[in-house]
Amino acid sequence: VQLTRLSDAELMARVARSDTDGRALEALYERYAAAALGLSQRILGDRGAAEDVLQEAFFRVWERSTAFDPERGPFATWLFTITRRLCIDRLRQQSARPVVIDLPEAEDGMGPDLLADPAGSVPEATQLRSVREKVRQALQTLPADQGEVLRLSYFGGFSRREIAARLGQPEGTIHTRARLGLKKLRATLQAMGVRPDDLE
Amino acid sequence: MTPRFEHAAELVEEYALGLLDEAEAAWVVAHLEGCAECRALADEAQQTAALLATTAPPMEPSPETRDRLFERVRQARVVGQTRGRPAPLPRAPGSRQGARLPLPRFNPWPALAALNLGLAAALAVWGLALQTQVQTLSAQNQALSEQLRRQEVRLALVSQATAQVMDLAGTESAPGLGGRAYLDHNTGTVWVTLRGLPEVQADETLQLWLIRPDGPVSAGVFAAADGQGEVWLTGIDYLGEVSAVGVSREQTGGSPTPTDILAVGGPAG
Repeated sequence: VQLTRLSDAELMARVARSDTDGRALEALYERYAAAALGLSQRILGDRGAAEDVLQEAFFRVWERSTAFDPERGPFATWLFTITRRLCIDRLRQQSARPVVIDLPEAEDGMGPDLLADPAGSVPEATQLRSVREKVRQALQTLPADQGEVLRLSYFGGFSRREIAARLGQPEGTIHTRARLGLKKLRATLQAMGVRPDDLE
Repeated sequence: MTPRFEHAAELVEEYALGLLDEAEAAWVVAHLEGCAECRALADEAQQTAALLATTAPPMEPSPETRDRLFERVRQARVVGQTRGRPAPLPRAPGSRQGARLPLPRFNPWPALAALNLGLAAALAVWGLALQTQVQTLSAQNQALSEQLRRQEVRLALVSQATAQVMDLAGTESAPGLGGRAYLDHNTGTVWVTLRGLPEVQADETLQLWLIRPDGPVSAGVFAAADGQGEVWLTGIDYLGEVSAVGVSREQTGGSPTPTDILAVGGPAG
């Protein structure tokens, strides 16, 4: 069986069940390591730390493979959730915040794009490229204050209270911006024909 | 001022973004456990939030990271690390202060550091044990290889027509003794099997003889086990001169000439 033809869920089933030579995990790594590392780098702002988190994230994927439930979402969502959590934990451990917060935003409104890959030369799952472009476009349609809250929470790991203090706004305002922002993002993506399952 | 919320559904987006404090997150988690409708909303919110991850520019990992990962997995697999079903995947990424899981929050780093030290020591011990095990297995492998080689030679000697066969019969000193010798003149190999060997005293031994026209030549001493014995000889360059094979009982260390002859035999048939 050519592993490259298997879906993420099928590969994960192999990782959990019979991946004695590690090839199924390698196939998933080929597809998503670049995106996961990009996420870690965006949050941590440190290449070495980002690579450490990447290794840890994929090790946990292997270690917890039996817990993956494709009914609850695609593998990429699971991987990104693990990766982001590891990053946020590391930030809290170091009492540090990523440089992304204090740098000018990129065109997608989600932070600096200093390490962008415009040529698309980094190997990764093909569906990630199309989804990435559409999510960036959708984010640009959000009101700036909503996009800012999404950015500070998702990539900065800040709490509602911390964001409120940072922006000088009531917590209720941050709550509303976060809620409306995520809902609008979802609706916009749906209108563009993008669903979370597209990451599969 | 912290706002108050009437229903957990109002918080699923913030939960997915990890914006909630500990108390709020615990409240949401508790509600989700029993509310499929809100759980579906929370899953939706989390999947949408996870799409934000794709906006980060991809970066090609270093080969070292890849190597470390798969070496770590390989080692974990070797030591038989159990991959059980852990706590359920949190529905929200990066919630604050333990908001993601309905579990007590604790700082894992000191425990992990201690665990690392323990693991390092355990790995060192394990490494030594492995080294010993490898040496033992290597010795066992060599022994098995030798056994296999001998078995192949046995089969060859028994099956090939070129091997000369000599049947041994016991003398009055050992009437129950019998055996057979295979002599391969091409390779200079002799294989002798014996059964019904008498017990010997502590200061005695058994000795094998190859009998040539000019007299018996010692082929060495050997011991029996449960009345049975087996002798292998290789590199004998005078097999063409050997007309018979004999076994004697001698004092420990052997004798230059046979004294108490137990069995003797010449070419079979």
